[in-house]
Amino acid sequence: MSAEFLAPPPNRAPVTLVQFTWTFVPFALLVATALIYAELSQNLRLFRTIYLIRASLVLSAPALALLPFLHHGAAARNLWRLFWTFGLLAHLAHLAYAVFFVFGDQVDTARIHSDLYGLSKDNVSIYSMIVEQQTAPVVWGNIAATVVWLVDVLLGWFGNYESRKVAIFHWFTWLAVLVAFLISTVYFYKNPVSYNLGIGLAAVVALGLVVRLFWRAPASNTSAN
Amino acid sequence: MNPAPRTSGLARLVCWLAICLSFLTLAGAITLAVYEHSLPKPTWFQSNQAVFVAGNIGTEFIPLPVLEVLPKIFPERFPPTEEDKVTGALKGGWIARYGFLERRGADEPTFPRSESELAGLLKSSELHRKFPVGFTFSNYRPFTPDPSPVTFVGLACAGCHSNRMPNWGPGGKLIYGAGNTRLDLIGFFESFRATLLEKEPIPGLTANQTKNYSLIEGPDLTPQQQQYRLTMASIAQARVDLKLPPMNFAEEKMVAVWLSGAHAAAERTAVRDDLPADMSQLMTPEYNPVGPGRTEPFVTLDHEMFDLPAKHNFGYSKIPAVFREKYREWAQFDGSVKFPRTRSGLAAMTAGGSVDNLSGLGVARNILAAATYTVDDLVGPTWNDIFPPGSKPTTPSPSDLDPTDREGIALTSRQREGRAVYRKQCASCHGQPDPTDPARWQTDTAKFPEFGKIVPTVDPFQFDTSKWPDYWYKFRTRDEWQKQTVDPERVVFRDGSRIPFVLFTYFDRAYPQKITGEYFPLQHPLATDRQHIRNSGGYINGPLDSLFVRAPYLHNASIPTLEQLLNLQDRPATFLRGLNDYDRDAVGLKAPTTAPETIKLDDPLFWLFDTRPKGNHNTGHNYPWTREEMKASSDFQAQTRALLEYLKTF
Repeated sequence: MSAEFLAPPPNRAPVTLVQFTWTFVPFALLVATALIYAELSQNLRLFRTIYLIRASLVLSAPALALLPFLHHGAAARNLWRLFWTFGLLAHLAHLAYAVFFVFGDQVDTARIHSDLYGLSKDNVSIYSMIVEQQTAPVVWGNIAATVVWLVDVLLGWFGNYESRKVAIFHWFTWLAVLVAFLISTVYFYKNPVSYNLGIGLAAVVALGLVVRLFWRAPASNTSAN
Repeated sequence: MNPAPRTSGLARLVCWLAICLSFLTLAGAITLAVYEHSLPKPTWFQSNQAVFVAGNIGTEFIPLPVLEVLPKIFPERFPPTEEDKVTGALKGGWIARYGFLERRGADEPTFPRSESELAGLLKSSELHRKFPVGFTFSNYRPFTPDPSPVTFVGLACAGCHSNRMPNWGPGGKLIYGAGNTRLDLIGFFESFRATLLEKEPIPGLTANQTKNYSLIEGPDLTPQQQQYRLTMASIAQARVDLKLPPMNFAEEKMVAVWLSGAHAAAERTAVRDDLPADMSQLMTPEYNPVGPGRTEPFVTLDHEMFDLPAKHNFGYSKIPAVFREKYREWAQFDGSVKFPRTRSGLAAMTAGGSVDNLSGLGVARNILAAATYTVDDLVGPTWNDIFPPGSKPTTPSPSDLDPTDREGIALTSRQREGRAVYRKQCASCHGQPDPTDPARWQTDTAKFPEFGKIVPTVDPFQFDTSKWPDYWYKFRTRDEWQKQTVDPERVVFRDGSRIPFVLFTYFDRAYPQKITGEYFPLQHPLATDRQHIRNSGGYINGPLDSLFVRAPYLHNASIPTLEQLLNLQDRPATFLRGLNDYDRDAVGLKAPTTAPETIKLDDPLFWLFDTRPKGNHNTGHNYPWTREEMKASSDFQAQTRALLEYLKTF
């Protein structure tokens, strides 16, 4: 990775109507589809959870691919910020469904039949159920990735773009979220949709990196086109 | 947000339009989700008995507003009921036709007695008071753990596992856990399927277009000139005609979605299973080979697991009593499922449950509670609980009894003679009542080495005897085996060799779900180990508690009485089934052996059980003696008569 990759990006430009449209419309339609398409399943809460994380992955993919292009103009930066934000919002909706509905709605049953959930009678909670299902490293990894992502989005909107530390944080978050997505798609590799989404994500990000390697930043990169 | 200078007016318009439309779509989806989460949550009963009798086990099949109008739209299949003026319960009509047990008020005597929660429910819930025993009402959509704005109706365990004894007359006592000997479950669901498939001419056709073409040909109607009889319009009109309240907007939409899916599903079954039989056909074994008091569990499994018509599956099985299941380490007639929770989960699945609605997000806790009830709590009645005391032929004379023999104290001298026969001839396979506490059953395999063993129904002598499984009864000769083995169809059906594995995968998240192909990503509370499901190759030697309630006998209900099972009488080749009276002398069902010239739709005995076709054989279990041996020996007869008297005490 060249030093240029870690250089702080120039000042931000306002989001244009077109940029907002290109990001908000996919976000709204994907999240709405995730919520409504689950009606065709036999398990609304479970499939809303699944479809929301898929929506989050699809929305985050452009952001993950665009990060190397922060020096290539305000359009790239704004699109990155918007996709990154909407991807996070879908991810938070996924987490809320998973925690409060998928696991939360099973707690009462688990309290009565804790052995069937692999839990001891006095240790039944949403947290213990998730840990039993996913293991503690995965749970804490997911929590950490979410917190880092949230901070990164805030930095994207309100942080000092001149700061080298901010740039490093962006790349750290990029790596954390990318790895989290790829691991989860590998974990759920038996589901062809998840697996193919993982391959698609990896391909889009790889393509972004390859293009960036051969495409120098334009001389003026602050226009809001 | 500042539009770029180069963005044209048209582009801005398109952008705003796209934003507004997508925002509205998102807002609509979120509103729907919020509304769904605000719908009534399930009611969970605290008592296991209440769950067994009225708890939802994932079998929802019809919205309540539709069930209420079926008698109006399909009176030929769902004859109208009448309302009992005292209790408010529905009785007669389709409830009697299909053999459901009408409610008789919250104070009806039951065995065991209704616990406070169940008694309170029957007092407070109009629906539970009104509809038959074992009907459930929930706000779950069928096959899902998802909320519905309209109440759906399903069957609880007690819908099949309850009966009235000694008969269904005014003196009959409701027994939770007994198999319903009258229930025509297949007939009921065939008629339900018919309501989704039957069509009629569309409105607006002339009388000429709808008249029969000839005496034996119907009207010449194209598919476009026909519509389903059960439509949103016909439902709404029937509700008006019956002065029932109209459905609200959300209820209407839910019923419309259900109806559309149900029509499509029924059409798929028509391709697989043909069209449903009409009502008179459903009374004949040719069209309804299952008949009253029985099910065809493996046909349902074949449908569910392989989407096969299962036309060559004849594994008809009696609706069993489910008392004291703790004495059955391996459950079912064939000893095929090890744990009660797995047994109950699979039973619920064959009755319409799915991986999703039986999960922790759905009704798994009810399945587990009902299973616990049958294992730990539910004890069947004794003879004296059902028949008036004093009906015993002689008074006990315990002079020569062991003081610790509490069972013997209650026995007559004849019954004690029978007990000696039982202990010599039967206990090794079936265990026996505990002499120190007759409410318990002794199953110690050190004392009763054949208890829990499988009597193979596949010919065991086709295999090297050294390779026989440990759990098979070890017959010495093929002749000996042939005297005992019973109808094999429940075990040897075509998919019997692969179904245990498929059943195991049903709840296991390591395997893809059949319908979606996706993997259920959560730990399923009903998942079990592979070694807990098996095709045992035969039928299990089980306990005989409350034996008199378990009539008719053998797994396929092919022998009406215990007297016939024990070869004191000939086993009838044919007999009539339906609402049979109880025969206290012969211990079992009074079943005329010849059918009248014609059987009317409302005849109590309407279905001719023919023991000759596959799956209905009444052969086997020639124990202690064959019919020929019995005829030839008055001593054998006397011993067996005494045994019969003793068996009444279980």
